[in-house]
Amino acid sequence: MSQLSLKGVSKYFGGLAAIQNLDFEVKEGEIRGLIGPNGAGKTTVFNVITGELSPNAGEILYAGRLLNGLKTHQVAKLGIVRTYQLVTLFSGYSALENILVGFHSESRFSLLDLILGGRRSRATDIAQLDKAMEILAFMGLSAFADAQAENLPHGLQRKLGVAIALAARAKVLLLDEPLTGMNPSEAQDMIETIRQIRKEYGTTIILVEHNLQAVMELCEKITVINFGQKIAEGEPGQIKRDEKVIEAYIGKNAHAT
Amino acid sequence: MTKAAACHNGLPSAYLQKLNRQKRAPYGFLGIFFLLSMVPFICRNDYYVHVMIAIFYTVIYTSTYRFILRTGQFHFGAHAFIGIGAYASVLLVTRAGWSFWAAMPAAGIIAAVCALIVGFPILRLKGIYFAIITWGLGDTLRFVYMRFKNPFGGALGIFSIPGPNPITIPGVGVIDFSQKSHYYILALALMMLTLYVLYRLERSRIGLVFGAIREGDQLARAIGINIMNYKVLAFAVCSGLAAMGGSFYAHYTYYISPQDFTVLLTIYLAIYTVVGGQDSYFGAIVGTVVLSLAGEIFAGYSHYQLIMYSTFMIVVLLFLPQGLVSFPRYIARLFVGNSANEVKGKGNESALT
Ligand SMILES: Nc1ncnc2c1ncn2[C@@H]1O[C@H](COP(=O)(O)OP(=O)(O)OP(=O)(O)O)[C@@H](O)[C@H]1O
Ligand SMILES: [Mg+2]
Repeated sequence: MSQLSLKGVSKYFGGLAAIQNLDFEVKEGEIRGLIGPNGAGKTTVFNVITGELSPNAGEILYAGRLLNGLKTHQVAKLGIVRTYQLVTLFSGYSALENILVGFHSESRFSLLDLILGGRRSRATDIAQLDKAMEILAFMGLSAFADAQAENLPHGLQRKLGVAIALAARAKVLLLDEPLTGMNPSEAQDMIETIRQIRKEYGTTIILVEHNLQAVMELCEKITVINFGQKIAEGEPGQIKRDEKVIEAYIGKNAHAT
Repeated sequence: MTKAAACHNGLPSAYLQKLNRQKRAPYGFLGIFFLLSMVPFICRNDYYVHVMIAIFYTVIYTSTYRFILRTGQFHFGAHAFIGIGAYASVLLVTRAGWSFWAAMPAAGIIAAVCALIVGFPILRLKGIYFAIITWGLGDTLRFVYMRFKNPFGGALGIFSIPGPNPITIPGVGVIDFSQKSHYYILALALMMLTLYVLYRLERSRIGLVFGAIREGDQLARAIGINIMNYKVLAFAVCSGLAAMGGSFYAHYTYYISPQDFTVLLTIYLAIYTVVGGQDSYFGAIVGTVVLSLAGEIFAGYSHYQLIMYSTFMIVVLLFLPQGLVSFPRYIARLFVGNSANEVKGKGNESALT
């Protein structure tokens, strides 16, 4: 049973087909690679799943439920949370506060209690603090709890972005180029973290990434798109040998090895 | 408390300090309340007490107004909700025979419900459109008050509004509102209550979310924050609190008319907020106090008040874009030799957006 599926999804920008008749299914607990040359439409796929853009055609189903027409925050509430290609954080907040914002929906607060700041509200504060510290520890960010997000080194900012998504209880995590701008050791660390997330939380992960080696290493299955169309899908070994994929990459991108 | 503090070896100290400050805050608010409540018993000049009372209810208006501004809505209809509070409470007392003590909170709730109903469709609007609609709402209400003599008293307004019913406070005695000092205590209590609620809305967990929406609305949505709900919540709570201020105003001055609730009122609130500094919780308070006092000192020139205020606002914005509250920091930077440009640069955005 697939957890998330796109059926015949298309998205046009004027005359440009950013994605075209895309079919795509992801199983629960899978780490799926979504790759393709620059401008292939990967980010657009994320945007239509999260409702930031509405598709011109096709259906997006999550656990049997139609996502078309839902607003971004509604999709996120259902458990589909993304990170952004350009690091996006609550930059003036500390790392810890970034995580705490992720908990917003969990404090199913009685408003009056929250406004008066009584004992129960304080107990929630402490419980959330403990949980946030757990997530930071899990992501290896404990030492930076008080550091302002925008002052963190780039690699840690990327990690914090993922940590926020975890705090928001992502069941499906859409990672848009999480390794960009990282040095090899940071990248290796992030790869390990992604594995750990799936192991600990059972999160389904869709990984958009130009570092193909990392994608091959992490993913059970890879979907390749070019000019908004799916050109190949399969296990890493298959994809590596696929002629269409090689063609698509050699023409434009030297990443392919 | 101890668990979180102990198991993370002092980290995160900054956030724990914040939580501890929040825990102590109610005592701070009570302390300020008791300190200020002594003023009319030390300074027995009715005029000064009156000025303080006016500052108190205006601080309620300005602070709630600022909070709505901070949710990114260019509110231009504060006068509408203050007016609803005043008229609702007066009518409940004079027509329905309610006690003031029931009518005042009821007026707050009525205004909050109105804000809810109006809020959902219009809070989507940005900038000037929201400003125009809220302004229009205020003026429409004013027209309704003028048009319908019954029950709103028409253009002449409503006279001889009774003061609050006498109450007995154990240990203090009967408070019958025969003296200015009684009103003073009530206005002070209302202001402190409002400021405490706003303090919680700004600094507690929910304040963290309001701030996050400002920091990055795209990410906020992506992690499931329903921005509209938060905006509506702020709009309703703040309008309700402002309406309670309006209710106090009506029963304090014994007279209200449509002329009390024109867009001019909102313009003053906007000026107070910007002059004080809208980024700071204290900005609305400082702006209101300074300009209200200035208004009293130059009372003889009240025709020119708006011009003077506007000029003052422009001067403040030129030199202190983050408002009067940034004055100490500005001075400090001058002396440290650090250029004040940083203060300026940052504030410019916030003052104008
Ligand atoms: N909001 C938009 N308006 C117009 N065109 C857009 C918009 N977003 C994307 N496009 C176009 O759609 C195509 C696909 O873009 P998309 O960002 O999805 O590619 P991508 O696969 O994520 O590329 P990259 O690897 O560079 O991030 C590109 O040609 C892009 O220029
Ligand atoms: Mg992209």
